[in-house]
Amino acid sequence: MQWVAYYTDGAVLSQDDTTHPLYAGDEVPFRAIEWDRVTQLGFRTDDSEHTVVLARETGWRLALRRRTFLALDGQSLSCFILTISTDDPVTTTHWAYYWFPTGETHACARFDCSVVRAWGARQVHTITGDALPSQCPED
Amino acid sequence: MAATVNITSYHGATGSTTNNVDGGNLRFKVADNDTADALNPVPIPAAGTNYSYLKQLRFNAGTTPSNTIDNLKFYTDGANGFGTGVGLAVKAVTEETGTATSGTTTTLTDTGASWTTDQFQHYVLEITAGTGSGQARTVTSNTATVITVGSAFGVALDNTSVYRLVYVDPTAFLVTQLTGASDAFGYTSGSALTVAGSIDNPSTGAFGDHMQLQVSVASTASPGTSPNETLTFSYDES
Repeated sequence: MQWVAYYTDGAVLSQDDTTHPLYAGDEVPFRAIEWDRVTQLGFRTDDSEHTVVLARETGWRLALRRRTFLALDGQSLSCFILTISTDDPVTTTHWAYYWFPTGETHACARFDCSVVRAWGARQVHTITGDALPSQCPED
Repeated sequence: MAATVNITSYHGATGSTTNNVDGGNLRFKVADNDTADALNPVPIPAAGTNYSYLKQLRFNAGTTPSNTIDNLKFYTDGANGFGTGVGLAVKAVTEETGTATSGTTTTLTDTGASWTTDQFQHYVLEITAGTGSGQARTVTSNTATVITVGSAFGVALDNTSVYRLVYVDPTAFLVTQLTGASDAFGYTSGSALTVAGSIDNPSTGAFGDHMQLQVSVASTASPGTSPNETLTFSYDES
Protein backbone atom coordinates (compact mmCIF):
# COMPACT_ATOMS: atom_id res chain seq x y z
CA MET A 1 0.00 0.00 0.00
CA GLN A 2 1.19 3.46 -0.77
CA TRP A 3 0.07 7.07 -0.46
CA VAL A 4 0.41 9.78 -3.10
CA ALA A 5 -0.27 13.51 -2.65
CA TYR A 6 -1.48 15.63 -5.57
CA TYR A 7 -0.54 19.29 -5.27
CA THR A 8 -2.28 22.41 -6.54
CA ASP A 9 0.45 23.10 -9.11
CA GLY A 10 0.17 19.65 -10.63
CA ALA A 11 3.17 18.25 -8.80
CA VAL A 12 2.88 14.82 -7.23
CA LEU A 13 4.62 13.49 -4.14
CA SER A 14 4.54 9.76 -3.64
CA GLN A 15 5.65 7.59 -0.79
CA ASP A 16 8.39 5.97 -2.87
CA ASP A 17 9.97 9.18 -4.22
CA THR A 18 13.61 8.34 -3.60
CA THR A 19 14.67 11.82 -4.75
CA HIS A 20 12.83 13.60 -1.94
CA PRO A 21 15.30 15.09 0.56
CA LEU A 22 13.42 13.57 3.50
CA TYR A 23 13.36 10.06 2.00
CA ALA A 24 14.60 7.78 4.76
CA GLY A 25 14.54 4.09 5.38
CA ASP A 26 12.46 2.97 2.46
CA GLU A 27 9.87 5.70 2.08
CA VAL A 28 9.10 9.41 2.28
CA PRO A 29 7.91 10.21 5.81
CA PHE A 30 4.41 11.56 6.31
CA ARG A 31 5.78 14.89 7.57
CA ALA A 32 7.08 15.60 4.06
CA ILE A 33 3.54 16.16 2.80
CA GLU A 34 2.90 19.87 2.27
CA TRP A 35 -0.73 19.91 3.30
CA ASP A 36 -1.35 23.52 2.24
CA ARG A 37 -0.71 22.44 -1.34
CA VAL A 38 -2.59 19.15 -1.38
CA THR A 39 -5.78 18.93 -3.40
CA GLN A 40 -6.18 15.15 -3.43
CA LEU A 41 -4.69 12.26 -1.50
CA GLY A 42 -4.45 8.88 -3.16
CA PHE A 43 -4.21 5.49 -1.49
CA ARG A 44 -2.74 2.88 -3.82
CA THR A 45 -2.40 -0.83 -4.09
CA ASP A 46 -0.70 -2.61 -6.99
CA ASP A 47 -3.89 -2.52 -9.04
CA SER A 48 -6.09 0.28 -7.72
CA GLU A 49 -6.11 3.81 -6.31
CA HIS A 50 -8.65 5.34 -3.95
CA THR A 51 -8.63 9.14 -3.99
CA VAL A 52 -9.83 11.58 -1.36
CA VAL A 53 -10.48 15.16 -2.46
CA LEU A 54 -9.42 17.67 0.17
CA ALA A 55 -10.89 21.12 0.78
CA ARG A 56 -8.66 23.39 2.82
CA GLU A 57 -10.22 25.42 5.59
CA THR A 58 -8.46 27.71 8.03
CA GLY A 59 -7.95 26.30 11.49
CA TRP A 60 -8.01 22.64 10.54
CA ARG A 61 -4.91 20.50 10.48
CA LEU A 62 -4.58 17.55 8.13
CA ALA A 63 -2.30 14.63 8.91
CA LEU A 64 -1.68 11.12 7.65
CA ARG A 65 -0.50 8.10 9.59
CA ARG A 66 -0.37 4.34 9.24
CA ARG A 67 -1.75 2.00 11.88
CA THR A 68 -0.70 -1.64 12.01
CA PHE A 69 -2.51 -4.43 13.82
CA LEU A 70 -0.24 -7.28 14.80
CA ALA A 71 -0.78 -10.81 16.08
CA LEU A 72 1.83 -12.86 17.89
CA ASP A 73 2.13 -15.26 14.99
CA GLY A 74 3.39 -12.42 12.82
CA GLN A 75 0.16 -11.78 10.92
CA SER A 76 -0.37 -8.06 10.42
CA LEU A 77 -2.64 -5.61 8.66
CA SER A 78 -2.04 -1.92 8.11
CA CYS A 79 -4.27 0.97 7.20
CA PHE A 80 -3.78 4.64 6.44
CA ILE A 81 -5.58 7.16 8.63
CA LEU A 82 -6.26 10.67 7.38
CA THR A 83 -7.10 12.93 10.31
CA ILE A 84 -8.57 16.40 10.56
CA SER A 85 -7.80 18.02 13.87
CA THR A 86 -7.40 21.39 15.49
CA ASP A 87 -4.03 20.50 17.01
CA ASP A 88 -2.39 17.20 17.95
CA PRO A 89 -4.37 14.50 16.11
CA VAL A 90 -4.13 12.17 19.09
CA THR A 91 -6.18 14.49 21.26
CA THR A 92 -8.06 16.83 18.92
CA THR A 93 -9.18 14.77 15.94
CA HIS A 94 -12.63 15.77 14.73
CA TRP A 95 -12.76 13.44 11.74
CA ALA A 96 -10.72 10.42 10.72
CA TYR A 97 -10.80 8.44 7.52
CA TYR A 98 -9.44 4.91 7.62
CA TRP A 99 -8.40 3.17 4.40
CA PHE A 100 -7.36 -0.46 4.18
CA PRO A 101 -5.57 -1.94 1.16
CA THR A 102 -8.25 -4.62 1.06
CA GLY A 103 -10.68 -1.89 0.00
CA GLU A 104 -12.46 -1.13 3.26
CA THR A 105 -12.91 2.47 4.33
CA HIS A 106 -14.29 3.89 7.56
CA ALA A 107 -15.21 7.47 8.36
CA CYS A 108 -15.31 8.31 12.03
CA ALA A 109 -15.05 11.09 14.57
CA ARG A 110 -12.47 9.20 16.60
CA PHE A 111 -8.70 8.99 16.28
CA ASP A 112 -8.72 5.55 17.91
CA CYS A 113 -11.92 3.96 16.67
CA SER A 114 -12.89 0.82 18.58
CA VAL A 115 -14.84 -0.50 15.60
CA VAL A 116 -11.71 -0.37 13.45
CA ARG A 117 -9.60 -1.87 16.24
CA ALA A 118 -12.00 -4.80 16.66
CA TRP A 119 -12.21 -5.36 12.90
CA GLY A 120 -8.42 -5.17 12.50
CA ALA A 121 -7.92 -7.70 15.29
CA ARG A 122 -10.35 -10.11 13.65
CA GLN A 123 -8.50 -9.83 10.35
CA VAL A 124 -5.06 -10.62 11.78
CA HIS A 125 -6.49 -13.53 13.76
CA THR A 126 -8.56 -14.77 10.78
CA ILE A 127 -11.83 -14.55 12.68
CA THR A 128 -15.03 -14.04 10.72
CA GLY A 129 -17.40 -11.30 11.75
CA ASP A 130 -19.24 -8.21 10.61
CA ALA A 131 -17.85 -6.20 7.71
CA LEU A 132 -16.22 -2.89 8.51
CA PRO A 133 -18.93 -0.21 8.17
CA SER A 134 -17.99 2.73 5.96
CA GLN A 135 -19.63 5.11 8.44
CA CYS A 136 -18.98 4.61 12.13
CA PRO A 137 -22.04 3.34 14.01
CA GLU A 138 -20.68 4.90 17.20
CA ASP A 139 -20.80 8.47 15.86
CA MET B 1 6.78 0.05 2.82
CA ALA B 2 5.83 -0.01 6.43
CA ALA B 3 8.37 -0.41 9.20
CA THR B 4 9.27 -3.95 10.19
CA VAL B 5 7.99 -4.38 13.72
CA ASN B 6 7.50 -7.53 15.69
CA ILE B 7 7.05 -8.59 19.29
CA THR B 8 10.11 -9.73 21.18
CA SER B 9 9.98 -12.02 24.21
CA TYR B 10 12.67 -11.82 26.89
CA HIS B 11 14.13 -14.77 28.76
CA GLY B 12 16.94 -15.85 31.03
CA ALA B 13 18.22 -14.67 34.36
CA THR B 14 18.70 -11.10 33.18
CA GLY B 15 16.51 -10.94 30.09
CA SER B 16 19.48 -11.09 27.77
CA THR B 17 17.96 -13.94 25.77
CA THR B 18 15.39 -12.72 23.26
CA ASN B 19 13.01 -14.36 20.87
CA ASN B 20 11.02 -12.66 18.14
CA VAL B 21 7.52 -14.04 18.49
CA ASP B 22 6.53 -13.89 14.86
CA GLY B 23 6.39 -17.50 13.81
CA GLY B 24 3.91 -19.05 16.19
CA ASN B 25 2.06 -18.76 19.44
CA LEU B 26 3.09 -18.28 23.05
CA ARG B 27 2.26 -20.92 25.61
CA PHE B 28 2.08 -20.02 29.26
CA LYS B 29 3.85 -22.64 31.36
CA VAL B 30 6.16 -23.14 34.31
CA ALA B 31 9.29 -22.92 32.20
CA ASP B 32 11.18 -19.95 30.83
CA ASN B 33 10.60 -20.42 27.10
CA ASP B 34 7.99 -19.67 24.45
CA THR B 35 7.78 -23.10 22.88
CA ALA B 36 4.18 -24.10 22.21
CA ASP B 37 4.51 -27.65 23.50
CA ALA B 38 2.77 -29.71 26.17
CA LEU B 39 5.64 -29.61 28.65
CA ASN B 40 5.68 -27.86 32.02
CA PRO B 41 1.96 -27.14 32.36
CA VAL B 42 0.70 -24.98 35.20
CA PRO B 43 -0.59 -27.47 37.79
CA ILE B 44 -4.12 -27.13 39.12
CA PRO B 45 -3.83 -26.53 42.85
CA ALA B 46 -5.94 -28.37 45.43
CA ALA B 47 -6.83 -24.95 46.79
CA GLY B 48 -5.99 -21.38 45.90
CA THR B 49 -4.27 -20.38 42.66
CA ASN B 50 -1.10 -21.29 40.77
CA TYR B 51 0.65 -18.95 38.37
CA SER B 52 2.69 -19.36 35.21
CA TYR B 53 6.13 -17.95 34.62
CA LEU B 54 5.94 -14.43 33.26
CA LYS B 55 5.96 -13.57 29.60
CA GLN B 56 7.81 -10.30 29.10
CA LEU B 57 7.19 -8.77 25.69
CA ARG B 58 8.27 -5.64 23.91
CA PHE B 59 7.78 -4.02 20.52
CA ASN B 60 10.89 -4.34 18.34
CA ALA B 61 11.79 -2.49 15.15
CA GLY B 62 13.79 -4.83 12.96
CA THR B 63 14.50 -2.04 10.49
CA THR B 64 14.56 1.66 11.18
CA PRO B 65 11.23 3.36 10.56
CA SER B 66 10.91 6.28 8.16
CA ASN B 67 8.36 7.83 10.49
CA THR B 68 7.92 7.97 14.25
CA ILE B 69 6.33 4.83 15.69
CA ASP B 70 4.07 5.53 18.66
CA ASN B 71 0.52 4.98 19.99
CA LEU B 72 1.45 1.46 21.12
CA LYS B 73 -1.51 -0.64 22.27
CA PHE B 74 -2.34 -4.12 23.53
CA TYR B 75 -5.86 -5.54 23.61
CA THR B 76 -7.97 -8.67 23.55
CA ASP B 77 -11.43 -9.59 22.34
CA GLY B 78 -12.73 -9.01 25.87
CA ALA B 79 -13.92 -12.56 26.40
CA ASN B 80 -11.88 -15.01 28.45
CA GLY B 81 -11.98 -18.20 26.42
CA PHE B 82 -9.47 -20.08 28.57
CA GLY B 83 -12.20 -21.68 30.63
CA THR B 84 -13.29 -21.70 34.25
CA GLY B 85 -10.55 -20.93 36.73
CA VAL B 86 -7.98 -19.76 34.19
CA GLY B 87 -7.10 -16.08 33.89
CA LEU B 88 -4.61 -13.83 32.19
CA ALA B 89 -3.14 -10.72 33.79
CA VAL B 90 -1.11 -8.00 32.09
CA LYS B 91 0.64 -4.77 32.92
CA ALA B 92 2.92 -2.32 31.12
CA VAL B 93 6.14 -1.54 32.92
CA THR B 94 8.29 1.51 32.28
CA GLU B 95 11.96 0.94 32.97
CA GLU B 96 13.42 2.64 36.02
CA THR B 97 16.88 4.09 35.55
CA GLY B 98 19.20 6.26 37.61
CA THR B 99 22.56 6.57 39.27
CA ALA B 100 23.18 5.31 42.77
CA THR B 101 24.18 7.76 45.45
CA SER B 102 25.87 4.97 47.41
CA GLY B 103 25.81 1.23 47.79
CA THR B 104 27.24 -2.01 49.15
CA THR B 105 27.64 -5.47 47.65
CA THR B 106 23.98 -6.21 48.40
CA THR B 107 22.29 -2.78 48.36
CA LEU B 108 21.89 0.18 46.05
CA THR B 109 20.84 3.53 47.47
CA ASP B 110 19.38 6.40 45.48
CA THR B 111 18.46 9.17 47.89
CA GLY B 112 16.54 10.97 45.18
CA ALA B 113 14.14 8.06 44.67
CA SER B 114 10.69 7.68 46.18
CA TRP B 115 9.86 4.08 45.44
CA THR B 116 6.96 2.15 46.90
CA THR B 117 8.07 -0.51 49.36
CA ASP B 118 8.83 -3.78 47.58
CA GLN B 119 7.63 -2.54 44.21
CA PHE B 120 10.77 -4.05 42.67
CA GLN B 121 10.62 -7.41 44.44
CA HIS B 122 11.69 -10.10 41.91
CA TYR B 123 12.92 -7.47 39.44
CA VAL B 124 16.46 -7.74 38.12
CA LEU B 125 18.74 -4.87 39.17
CA GLU B 126 21.16 -4.31 36.30
CA ILE B 127 24.25 -2.12 36.61
CA THR B 128 24.71 -0.65 33.14
CA ALA B 129 27.70 1.65 33.76
CA GLY B 130 30.16 2.62 36.47
CA THR B 131 31.14 0.38 39.36
CA GLY B 132 29.59 -3.06 38.93
CA SER B 133 28.83 -2.52 35.25
CA GLY B 134 27.57 -5.64 33.51
CA GLN B 135 26.39 -7.36 36.69
CA ALA B 136 22.76 -8.13 37.52
CA ARG B 137 21.07 -9.50 40.60
CA THR B 138 17.47 -10.29 41.59
CA VAL B 139 15.86 -7.86 44.02
CA THR B 140 14.51 -9.28 47.26
CA SER B 141 13.07 -6.05 48.69
CA ASN B 142 13.18 -2.29 48.48
CA THR B 143 12.35 0.75 50.55
CA ALA B 144 11.72 4.27 49.24
CA THR B 145 15.43 4.75 48.51
CA VAL B 146 17.24 1.43 49.01
CA ILE B 147 17.14 -1.72 46.89
CA THR B 148 18.38 -5.00 48.37
CA VAL B 149 19.42 -7.96 46.21
CA GLY B 150 19.48 -11.64 47.12
CA SER B 151 23.08 -12.43 46.21
CA ALA B 152 26.06 -10.11 46.48
CA PHE B 153 27.49 -8.18 43.56
CA GLY B 154 31.16 -8.85 42.91
CA VAL B 155 31.98 -5.35 44.06
CA ALA B 156 30.41 -2.77 46.37
CA LEU B 157 28.21 -0.39 44.38
CA ASP B 158 28.95 3.33 44.69
CA ASN B 159 27.92 6.72 43.35
CA THR B 160 29.15 5.85 39.85
CA SER B 161 26.85 2.83 39.52
CA VAL B 162 24.20 3.46 36.86
CA TYR B 163 21.26 1.13 37.30
CA ARG B 164 18.25 -0.13 35.36
CA LEU B 165 15.15 -1.99 36.54
CA VAL B 166 12.52 -3.35 34.19
CA TYR B 167 13.02 -7.07 33.69
CA VAL B 168 11.61 -9.50 36.22
CA ASP B 169 13.21 -12.80 37.17
CA PRO B 170 10.75 -15.08 35.36
CA THR B 171 11.37 -17.99 37.71
CA ALA B 172 10.27 -16.00 40.75
CA PHE B 173 6.60 -16.22 39.93
CA LEU B 174 5.88 -19.94 39.98
CA VAL B 175 3.49 -19.54 42.88
CA THR B 176 3.47 -15.76 43.07
CA GLN B 177 0.97 -13.37 41.60
CA LEU B 178 2.30 -10.54 39.48
CA THR B 179 1.47 -7.43 41.47
CA GLY B 180 -0.15 -4.44 39.86
CA ALA B 181 -1.41 -6.36 36.86
CA SER B 182 -4.98 -6.24 35.56
CA ASP B 183 -7.27 -8.72 33.84
CA ALA B 184 -6.05 -8.80 30.24
CA PHE B 185 -9.60 -9.32 29.02
CA GLY B 186 -10.49 -5.94 30.45
CA TYR B 187 -8.36 -4.42 27.70
CA THR B 188 -10.48 -4.41 24.57
CA SER B 189 -10.73 -2.61 21.25
CA GLY B 190 -12.61 0.11 23.09
CA SER B 191 -10.21 0.37 26.01
CA ALA B 192 -6.82 -0.95 24.96
CA LEU B 193 -3.80 -1.02 27.24
CA THR B 194 -1.57 1.95 26.44
CA VAL B 195 2.07 0.98 26.16
CA ALA B 196 4.24 4.07 26.57
CA GLY B 197 7.16 4.71 24.28
CA SER B 198 8.16 5.42 20.70
CA ILE B 199 11.01 5.07 18.25
CA ASP B 200 12.31 7.37 15.51
CA ASN B 201 14.54 7.09 12.49
CA PRO B 202 17.39 6.07 12.49
CA SER B 203 17.00 3.92 15.62
CA THR B 204 16.26 0.21 15.60
CA GLY B 205 15.65 -2.38 18.27
CA ALA B 206 13.27 -2.76 21.19
CA PHE B 207 11.19 0.21 22.24
CA GLY B 208 8.36 1.12 24.57
CA ASP B 209 7.30 -0.29 27.91
CA HIS B 210 7.74 -3.94 28.72
CA MET B 211 4.46 -5.87 28.71
CA GLN B 212 4.34 -8.49 31.46
CA LEU B 213 1.75 -11.26 31.19
CA GLN B 214 0.93 -14.13 33.50
CA VAL B 215 -1.65 -16.91 33.49
CA SER B 216 -3.39 -17.91 36.72
CA VAL B 217 -4.88 -21.35 37.32
CA ALA B 218 -7.33 -21.75 40.18
CA SER B 219 -8.47 -24.94 41.87
CA THR B 220 -11.71 -24.68 39.90
CA ALA B 221 -9.91 -25.17 36.57
CA SER B 222 -10.41 -28.34 34.56
CA PRO B 223 -7.47 -30.53 33.49
CA GLY B 224 -6.38 -30.27 29.87
CA THR B 225 -5.19 -27.71 27.40
CA SER B 226 -6.99 -24.38 27.39
CA PRO B 227 -8.28 -23.06 24.07
CA ASN B 228 -6.19 -20.48 22.25
CA GLU B 229 -6.76 -16.81 22.93
CA THR B 230 -6.10 -13.91 20.60
CA LEU B 231 -3.87 -11.07 21.75
CA THR B 232 -3.58 -8.08 19.46
CA PHE B 233 -0.94 -5.38 19.37
CA SER B 234 -1.03 -2.18 17.37
CA TYR B 235 1.19 0.76 16.62
CA ASP B 236 1.07 3.92 14.53
CA GLU B 237 3.63 5.43 12.18
CA SER B 238 3.19 9.17 12.00
